[in-house]
Amino acid sequence: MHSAPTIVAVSPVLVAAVAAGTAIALVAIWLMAVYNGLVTRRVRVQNGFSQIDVQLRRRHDLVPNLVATVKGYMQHERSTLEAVTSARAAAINARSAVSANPGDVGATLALANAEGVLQGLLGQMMILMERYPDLKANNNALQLQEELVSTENRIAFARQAYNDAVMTFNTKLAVFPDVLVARLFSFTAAALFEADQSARALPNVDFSAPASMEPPRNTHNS
Amino acid sequence: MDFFESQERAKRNTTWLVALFIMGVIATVVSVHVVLSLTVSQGKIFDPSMFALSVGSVLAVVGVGTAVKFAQMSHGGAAVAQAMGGTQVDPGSSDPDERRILNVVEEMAIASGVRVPPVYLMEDQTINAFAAGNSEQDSVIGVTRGCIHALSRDELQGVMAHEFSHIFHRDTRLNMRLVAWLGGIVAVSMVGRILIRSQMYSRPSRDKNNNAAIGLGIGVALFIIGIVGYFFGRIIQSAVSRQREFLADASAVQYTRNPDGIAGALEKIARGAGSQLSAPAAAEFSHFFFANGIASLFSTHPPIEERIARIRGAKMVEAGVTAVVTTTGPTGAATAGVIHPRATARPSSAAAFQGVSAASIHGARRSMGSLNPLDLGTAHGLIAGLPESVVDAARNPFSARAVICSLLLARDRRERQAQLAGIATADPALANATDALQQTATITPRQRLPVIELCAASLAQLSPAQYQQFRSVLTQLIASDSQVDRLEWTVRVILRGVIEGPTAGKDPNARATVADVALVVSVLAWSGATDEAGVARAWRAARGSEALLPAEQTAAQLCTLDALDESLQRLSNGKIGIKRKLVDACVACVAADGQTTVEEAELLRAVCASIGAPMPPIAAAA
Repeated sequence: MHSAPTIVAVSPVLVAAVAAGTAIALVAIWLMAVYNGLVTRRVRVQNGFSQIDVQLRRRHDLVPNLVATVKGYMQHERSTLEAVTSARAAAINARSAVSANPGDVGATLALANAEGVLQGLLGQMMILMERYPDLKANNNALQLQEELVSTENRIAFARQAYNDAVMTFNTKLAVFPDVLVARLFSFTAAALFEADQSARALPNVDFSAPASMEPPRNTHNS
Repeated sequence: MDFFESQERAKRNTTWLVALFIMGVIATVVSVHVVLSLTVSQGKIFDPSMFALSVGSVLAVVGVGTAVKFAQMSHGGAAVAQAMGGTQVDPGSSDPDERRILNVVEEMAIASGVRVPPVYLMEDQTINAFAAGNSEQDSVIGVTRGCIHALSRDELQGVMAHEFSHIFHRDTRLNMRLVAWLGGIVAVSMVGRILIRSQMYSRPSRDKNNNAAIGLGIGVALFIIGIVGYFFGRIIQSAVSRQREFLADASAVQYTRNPDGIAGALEKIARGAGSQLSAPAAAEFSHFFFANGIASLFSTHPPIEERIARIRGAKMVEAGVTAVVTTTGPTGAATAGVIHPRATARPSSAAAFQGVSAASIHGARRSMGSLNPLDLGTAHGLIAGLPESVVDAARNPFSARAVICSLLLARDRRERQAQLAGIATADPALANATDALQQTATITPRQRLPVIELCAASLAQLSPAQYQQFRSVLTQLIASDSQVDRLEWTVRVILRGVIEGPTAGKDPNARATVADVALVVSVLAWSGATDEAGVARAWRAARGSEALLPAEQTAAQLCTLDALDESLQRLSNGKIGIKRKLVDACVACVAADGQTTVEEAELLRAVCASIGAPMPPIAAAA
């Protein structure tokens, strides 16, 4: 044992030490709370993404059916249909890249862009379909079209929910004092699911030429 | 046991828990003081400033630790599931494994009259499951990937029945409290750990060696105190938890009349699939789980062999009772799926015109907060009888909103158009979807509550911003309708209870009184009877059940939607006793004339659902 120091001499130091220990503990508790909050919000982001993913898969399943159904009618839009098919293939690739590497910012952005292209082309295809009155009598095509529209709505809504979750998460990551905890445990910001503006300029679909080959009178009758 | 009795018992358990917690805190304060006195004050026990210091620091640490955990738990079951790293299974999923668990959960929820809880999936190959939540309204179910992959439908049903038992018996609520209280005591041991760490890493320098040694000593002591506190907490936890596990196992057998299901699941765990989770948060939430979530000295669950033996033992007794009830007999592996006594309750459009017998209303009251295979069959039939477009829509957050909106549309065509235009100003896509639904699908009165319950799991996926927007669309939609009829009341009442939850009111602290009970019962009396005499008869019946009710029913002009809303709001926050009085008075009132329509019965169920007292579907008279 050490030679006992007098009570008066030691107490204040150790009282301070205990008080400091308590303070450290409070900080640690706070640290854990912030950490847990970050984890929870990151899970919500993942949750949001899986919602989009389910609907994207549905869109990818619908597209070939729709293309096969309208192919016979839309002989002159071969280039559009091919563009849709290849955009779908590209979107599927991008999707599997994301599932192989969930949460990756680059992959998520690539998927958002690929889906943006697919969505744009599908929109064009729908507009072109209006020009073929025969298609309007085809129940199968109408039903597929309806399902595709409802899937588009669901994707848009799921994307909104996902982006809300991402914003909440990213804001929390950036705000003091949470930013310190986020840095400490190397949390990284999540990517918004949004096609960038350049991708919206759609690729080589020849809109005018083949479509105008179709007798315009027909379309007006519809 | 009666639903309300088991709720009361859960509440008493919570009180015990709090008492034990306070004792734990006092013990911690005393031991911290003793440690500090022996080390710092050199054995001077009665040092007031030292005592103040120990009380202050312990209370600060325990207080903050508890507060943090309480805040986390206040977000409901979803917070627990997310802390475990679970992601919500999409209610519209077409993956066969996911579909199976979703269907099982949907059927159970609808069979018991609670909203369909969101299902969270944890990517873990072992077999385990949990239920978490503060009330039926924020409960969630969690399952591991291994659980949905390895178990048959019967076994899954057994496990889910076990989890629903935890929800009905309020074990989940108790568990949430337990996490919060234990969080505070655990925090003390964390201080100890930090002190030890800081002393070990600090450079030994000159005279400080002495202080460092004492600091290290304090650290070790605090660590031990915390561990002891935690140990006591675990004793409380297992004392509460183990008994509840046996009860839940027994309930699972009772709900499904199929001991093979739950026993089979336990046997698969015992045979090597295991139940230990890799999620770091597993220890904290171990008492939530179906089977032991962690390997530890403080087992929260009884030994698996004992549980199997008890279930298998119960089989003999159960078999005698169930022979009358089940139509399919013992369900083995060969009979895939649930028992389907379809003949008992096939929903059809004709059901709307059939009455409901007083006996079946009383029957539903008795089986409140429990399940039976007949109800499971009814639920299965109810879902199967729904238009496909409605089921599909209800399982997606975007279109589930449209389903709810379409239920609120007026019957008058022009008014309906105005309502749709109102929705369109806020959200054109929603208006289109609502319009498409109301043109293609009809939902009978009997299907209303199940449909809204189905939508609940999807609506749980809305982001807070989307939820707010949806709320304002709903508010506008309800306000735009001039006429109020019983159907609309039903929808409103269910929405309030099922979707908005118990905290939606203006003044959450207002106390429920007999006047509130009188108002709700009066609404039922006025809407159920065709003439004054009928109202008086219904009221007399209600008074026969609850003598405290005033001699006369509340005047019809006072029975407005807003008044009903506010009363139900207060009642849903009210004590268990007043809820029970309300439910019994309502049952007596509705069953009084023996001429109950399906719509009346559904309004009764809606009232029950909105105060968190789920009532199973009431069979229509053949």
